[in-house]
Amino acid sequence: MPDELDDALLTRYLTGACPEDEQARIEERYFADDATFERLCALEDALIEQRLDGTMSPEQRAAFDREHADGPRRDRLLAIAAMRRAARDRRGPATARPRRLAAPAWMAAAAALVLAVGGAWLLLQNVQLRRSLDRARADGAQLQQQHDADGRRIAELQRQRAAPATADANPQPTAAPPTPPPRAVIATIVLRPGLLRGPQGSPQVAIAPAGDGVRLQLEIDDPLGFTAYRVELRTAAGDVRWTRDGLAPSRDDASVSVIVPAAALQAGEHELVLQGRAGNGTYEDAARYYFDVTRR
Amino acid sequence: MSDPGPRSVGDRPAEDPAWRLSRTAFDRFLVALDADRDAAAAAYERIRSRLVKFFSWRGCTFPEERADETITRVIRKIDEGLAVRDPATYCYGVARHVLLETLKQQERERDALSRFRPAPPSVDDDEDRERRIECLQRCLEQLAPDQRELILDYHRGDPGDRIDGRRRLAERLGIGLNALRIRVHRTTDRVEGCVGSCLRRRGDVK
Repeated sequence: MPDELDDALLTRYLTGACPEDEQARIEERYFADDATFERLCALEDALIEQRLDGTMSPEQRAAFDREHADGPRRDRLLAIAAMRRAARDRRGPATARPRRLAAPAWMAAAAALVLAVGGAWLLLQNVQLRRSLDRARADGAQLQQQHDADGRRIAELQRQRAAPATADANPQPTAAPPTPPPRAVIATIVLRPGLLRGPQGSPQVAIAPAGDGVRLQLEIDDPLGFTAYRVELRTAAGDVRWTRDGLAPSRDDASVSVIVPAAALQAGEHELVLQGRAGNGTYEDAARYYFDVTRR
Repeated sequence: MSDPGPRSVGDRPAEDPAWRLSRTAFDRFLVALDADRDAAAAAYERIRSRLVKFFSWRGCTFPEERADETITRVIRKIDEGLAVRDPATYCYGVARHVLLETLKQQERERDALSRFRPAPPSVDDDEDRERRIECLQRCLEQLAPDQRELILDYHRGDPGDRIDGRRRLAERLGIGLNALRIRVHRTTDRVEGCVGSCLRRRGDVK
């Protein structure tokens, strides 16, 4: 029998992109033919691996995520992610004798499952978060006005500081003795990805006047196995305010820490996008975090 | 009575409300699969695995239950005297009817749920995660050492190294790459099924 069912067609079937007549043709075939069924099974796992490796096209990834948002296919994704993590955490050569996994490896595999379960839930959460952010964007004009006013005030202060010659024309109080530069005030805030706005609102990040910034500990709920991350800080209006590359995950791969300079933070709602570096060097979104900044 | 074609007989049986799945009816079904008992058992597993995947790939929430429902309907038809020429194809036809019913039911459930605001993540989610962890630990421990080693070796390494690693693993096992993938897929099936059973035993999944 000529094999007209190529991998591209079978991939479309597995991502729900086939019309009904093609679906029926493939199904009739795999109910009758072992080889076709086994090809599909192998392809199913290969697709999951592509997703975990971050090597899917955006279109494929969107279709894949839709099909794997819940149910048994999500369970399959979780199982493979957990096995990968267990394999990665295992030490020793590939040809080692069969042995029982050490407790830490089990814990890591288990942790991966926790994170993966959370990740799947977040697929749903993110939809709701998007709506929340849309509402926040409705306040964008007001925020922008505040931002513009702050900008004008900062520019004025900088002009005053950079132009001592004007001091004669604008007498200032007697200069105080030199003071040491402001001591770094770094607050640490733990952020969970996609945390819904609850009764208490988004997490609050208060920036002290003398603060140099804020250390954000970004918890990772999606075990995609990235070895490097970058973050992109965005305002509620979606403008990118600041980025930082080359961030390493914590040893247990459960979080990424980053210090955001105070200058990058303006009062109001922020979105921070964590992106993981895939095997091919490109970055893909791994998680999103939301928080409100207040300035004291 | 002869096989009138799978697509005309998939409706939920209503002829005899007293009908129950019995050992005798199941035996008749096995005979329809193959006169040899062992071959019939293998054919049964083969059909059931396809049905489970069929319902999973088509987006059903509980594919194993749907697969069993399909087989029960086919058993009933055979028990009532229907001669089925090709049980696998016939099962597929019945499965399509079960699929339609299931998707409609899922849609009704989604509609009903959409009338309520989604509940925020709660403590239950954390509890669910912990239970899943425990089940996964148990299931991985239950794998035979060579199967566990196969899974771990298969998934080792970065994407670039993994291809070579799998080639070496296949050579070591004396099988082709495709056979290796299928073997790993089946082992993953076992772990997945084990986790599902574990959760059901603990009352987490109905």
